[in-house]
Amino acid sequence: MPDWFTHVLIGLIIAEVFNVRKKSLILIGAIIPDILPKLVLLRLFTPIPEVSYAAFKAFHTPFVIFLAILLIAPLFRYDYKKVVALISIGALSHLLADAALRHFAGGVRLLYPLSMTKYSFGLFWPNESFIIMVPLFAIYCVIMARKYRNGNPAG
Amino acid sequence: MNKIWERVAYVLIVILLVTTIMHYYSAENEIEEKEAETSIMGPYKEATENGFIMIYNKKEIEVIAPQHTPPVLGEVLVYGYLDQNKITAIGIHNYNYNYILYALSALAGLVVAFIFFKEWKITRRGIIDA
Repeated sequence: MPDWFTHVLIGLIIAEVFNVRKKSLILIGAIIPDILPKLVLLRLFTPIPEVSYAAFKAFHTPFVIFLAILLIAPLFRYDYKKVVALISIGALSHLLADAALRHFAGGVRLLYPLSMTKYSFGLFWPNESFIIMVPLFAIYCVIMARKYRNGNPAG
Repeated sequence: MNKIWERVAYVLIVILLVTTIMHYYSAENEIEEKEAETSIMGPYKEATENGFIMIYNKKEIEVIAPQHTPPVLGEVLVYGYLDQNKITAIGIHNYNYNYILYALSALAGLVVAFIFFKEWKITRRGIIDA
């Protein structure tokens, strides 16, 4: 998806459904694969050098982002395995959601480094993510309403 | 002893990450060189006799295509054969309302930052439980 709002909603739903205490770790994972690849959007404001940005795109593959997560996790003074697991779950949700999108010749290299094949389920164009964003927002509201009704909003 | 092994593992992961990114970079560039088609995305400027003009990376690109309606609050994606400042389109898609999605993305970034700083505190020793 082009929008982090949908990715963050997916992350929040996962965090609420599984009663994750550190929700921000899943949310960081849900946006982390986009941080470097989306730097090219700076072209909207200023010309950027016309060089290959392929190295940034590497972070949009499960293998590379997992390695990056292994390196980031020690920054947190918390259970290392939990940090890695929660950020990884968020990142995986991001990559699978992106694989749902339609492109002319795009997709997510889910199996890199085993294969350079791009996978795309071609369900809808990235700008049509409202189709999924609105129902996800409704699902999130229902989950939160139920939690408040049961007196357990923190999860 | 454990600390030493942790550091060795960390260095090995760094090496593996750098090597993987280098491999990805060359593999991706190799694929791009082989493919004749490319995709560019940017704002629609104006219609021409043969198609329209779009802006890509602050440069004007002439798109050779059938008549096309401009996108609404968004950009146009053109897939085709790029030659200097001209692209012959084989596929066009309007990213309508994409600017709204960019604004929502910025909002989502703020939500993540808010939740992050509610749960964590950044100190010199690292990021600790708030």
